[in-house]
Amino acid sequence: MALVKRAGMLVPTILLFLLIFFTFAQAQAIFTAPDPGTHIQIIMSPQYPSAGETAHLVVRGGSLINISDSTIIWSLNGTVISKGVGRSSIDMKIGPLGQAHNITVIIQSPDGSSTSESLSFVPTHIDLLIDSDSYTPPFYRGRALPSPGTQLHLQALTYFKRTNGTHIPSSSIIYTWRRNNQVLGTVSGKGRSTVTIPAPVPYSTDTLSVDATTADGSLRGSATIRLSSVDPVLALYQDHPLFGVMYHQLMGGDTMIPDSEATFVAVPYFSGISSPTDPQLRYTWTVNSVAAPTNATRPDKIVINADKSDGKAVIELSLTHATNFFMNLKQTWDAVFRTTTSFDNPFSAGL
Amino acid sequence: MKTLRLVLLYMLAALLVIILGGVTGWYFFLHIPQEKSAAIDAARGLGPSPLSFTGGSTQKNVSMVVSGESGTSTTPTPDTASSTPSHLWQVDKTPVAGMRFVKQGTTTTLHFVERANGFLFTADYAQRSTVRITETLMPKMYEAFMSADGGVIQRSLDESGSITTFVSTVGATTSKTSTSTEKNSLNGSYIAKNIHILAVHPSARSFFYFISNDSGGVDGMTASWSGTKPKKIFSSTMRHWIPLWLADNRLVITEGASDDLPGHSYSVASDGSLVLLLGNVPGLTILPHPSSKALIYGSSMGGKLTLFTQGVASTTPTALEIETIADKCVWLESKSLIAYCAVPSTPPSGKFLDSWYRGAVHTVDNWWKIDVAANAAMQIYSPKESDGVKIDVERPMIDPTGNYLAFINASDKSLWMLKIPQ
Repeated sequence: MALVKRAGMLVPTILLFLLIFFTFAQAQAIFTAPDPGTHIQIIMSPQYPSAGETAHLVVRGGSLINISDSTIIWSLNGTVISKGVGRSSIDMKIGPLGQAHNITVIIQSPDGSSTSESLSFVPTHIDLLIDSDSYTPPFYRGRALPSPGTQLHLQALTYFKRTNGTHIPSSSIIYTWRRNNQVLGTVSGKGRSTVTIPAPVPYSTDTLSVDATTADGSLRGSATIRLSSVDPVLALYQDHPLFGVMYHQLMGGDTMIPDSEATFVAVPYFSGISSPTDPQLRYTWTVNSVAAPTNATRPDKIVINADKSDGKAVIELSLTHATNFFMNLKQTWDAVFRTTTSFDNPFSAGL
Repeated sequence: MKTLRLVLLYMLAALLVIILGGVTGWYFFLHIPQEKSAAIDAARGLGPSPLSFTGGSTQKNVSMVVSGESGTSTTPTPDTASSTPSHLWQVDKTPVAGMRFVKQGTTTTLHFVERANGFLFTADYAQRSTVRITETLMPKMYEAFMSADGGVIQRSLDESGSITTFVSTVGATTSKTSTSTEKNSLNGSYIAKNIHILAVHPSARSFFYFISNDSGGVDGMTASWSGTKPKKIFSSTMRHWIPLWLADNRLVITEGASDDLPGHSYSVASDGSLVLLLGNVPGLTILPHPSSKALIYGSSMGGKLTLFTQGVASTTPTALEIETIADKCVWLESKSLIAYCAVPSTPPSGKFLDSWYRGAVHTVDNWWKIDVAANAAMQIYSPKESDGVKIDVERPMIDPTGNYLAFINASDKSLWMLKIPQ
């Protein structure tokens, strides 16, 4: 009975102890990191501005500093560049590569006291280049866009120059690559200025970034891009007997063909293939809902013979890949064959 | 009665002679030249196409459904030369592979290569006539480039789909007795396959190209017509670059453009390092001035095209109130910062660059004069309003005198010249 009574007193004692402990611990956290009230901080955006870029600088003060009533003096390398009451932010054009930037902010309060803070950096520059191994046809002048299942190529072109004028080669720079803020450890490291990673999955937009720094940390830079994958585009062109593939005239709805026979070639833009004759591709052609045999050597081509008549051929192509399950393309085109001036003799059916 | 019969006989005989003479005249003076003209047109791709196909499946089953004529015609643009006014001339109604103004003595003529046969022609704007120079048949030439002094590069596809590049010079005529009808041969050889893209030096017989390397990227190479070993300038893991070789010998490379995607352009230094010219511009197309630091560049972002100019001294770009891309512009070859740009009459929307490069959309352009120093743009010619023709300009060029523009209509690859209205 006494044991029960003792246990009954023990529980409230423990609860009281825990309450006192955590209250004390929380107070300790506050007390151990007191706000001095006079602390000021310079915040620069972007964090690592490039040469020639305009940076936005903001000064923030502690609770005891009345910034709006204080005179704020901004200096660059000892020269006052801005001064005014309550001037808590400025825009500053960043100088060239290799030029030291020592920024000082002095806050003079109305009561005569002053506080200062400094920030030093050497501007750098990074170009983040993007390319893809997705398919584009010969003579295409645009960019290969990433689609699901393809690989992205990224390259950070770094322009790092010390204040003594020496350029730092990319092989000496440490690169940290991130996808959606997750470090890509296997592709990051010293000299890793180029990476190849999978393209974003469908319906997502990835934030890809790279931080670059010298081994001693004296020079830093970063670059970021937001990127989505595109859907591959299944296009059809006429392969003209005299002019070749008419890449300049994409087949659309009701495209006129002034011949009785024509060859067409399919081009799967931005798909994850190296060639339209990739053996892993499965072409399924139909013309007016009738399956057409696929040519073994050039499955991307189909020949339609209108038998010297006029009329419309509804061409349908389904294209899949043996291993890339993201690739499932289907498209329909209407080719209107017109070799005569009248349409009174339609096509005969049958292959 | 006998006299009357005699008169009628004579009249009948005379009528017979007149009819026979007329038929003979028609045959020799009209019919045969028409056949010749038709044969020449057919050889250049204007007549009925010879339908001899290999490869691919043959499909005869087509429906009875007949629709209207909407959509893209695959026939070449009709010859409108007879109805065009003096400013605009359709030089060639069949697809062309490339062209260049070439100076010969004191005169400058337009040289061009037809796509169907690879024949080299010259065009005389004053006479509105073309003359074929070469007789070497090179079928299905997708691209052609010319040096300033008669070198020709022709690019095609072989049976496997690989890009071929034939580097040649125009040789002597095949006959010892030269006449105006005799043609020259093209003497040259094929170089490496699958050269992605190529730019010719503006004055020397050399060219720059990108070709795949073993690392999965590309090598940027220079080579000459003489066949000396190509020299590697630099390598890149990025595969899609557009090179430009400028008159002041600067070699400029720009990432292939895509709407909304940031593009960068660089000047390639002699040691192969890349010096940034312009960067982080969405949908960047660029045309540097051939002999100064001035630039014209375009951006494509959010479905809107914007054209910028940047003068020699200023680093601050100016946005013009015309919506086009730098691919449709050309600088006047002088120190004056004058350029001519083809501007779509209706501002394109959506992902224009991607669609245009795929041949999915075509514009109807007007010509504008851009004065970069004055930040001014002025429309100078409308082919649609003046001539009733719709031209989607690509690969514009200007003659050294600044009087003529030559360009390809991207919708059918026909070749046009415009005398610049003063």
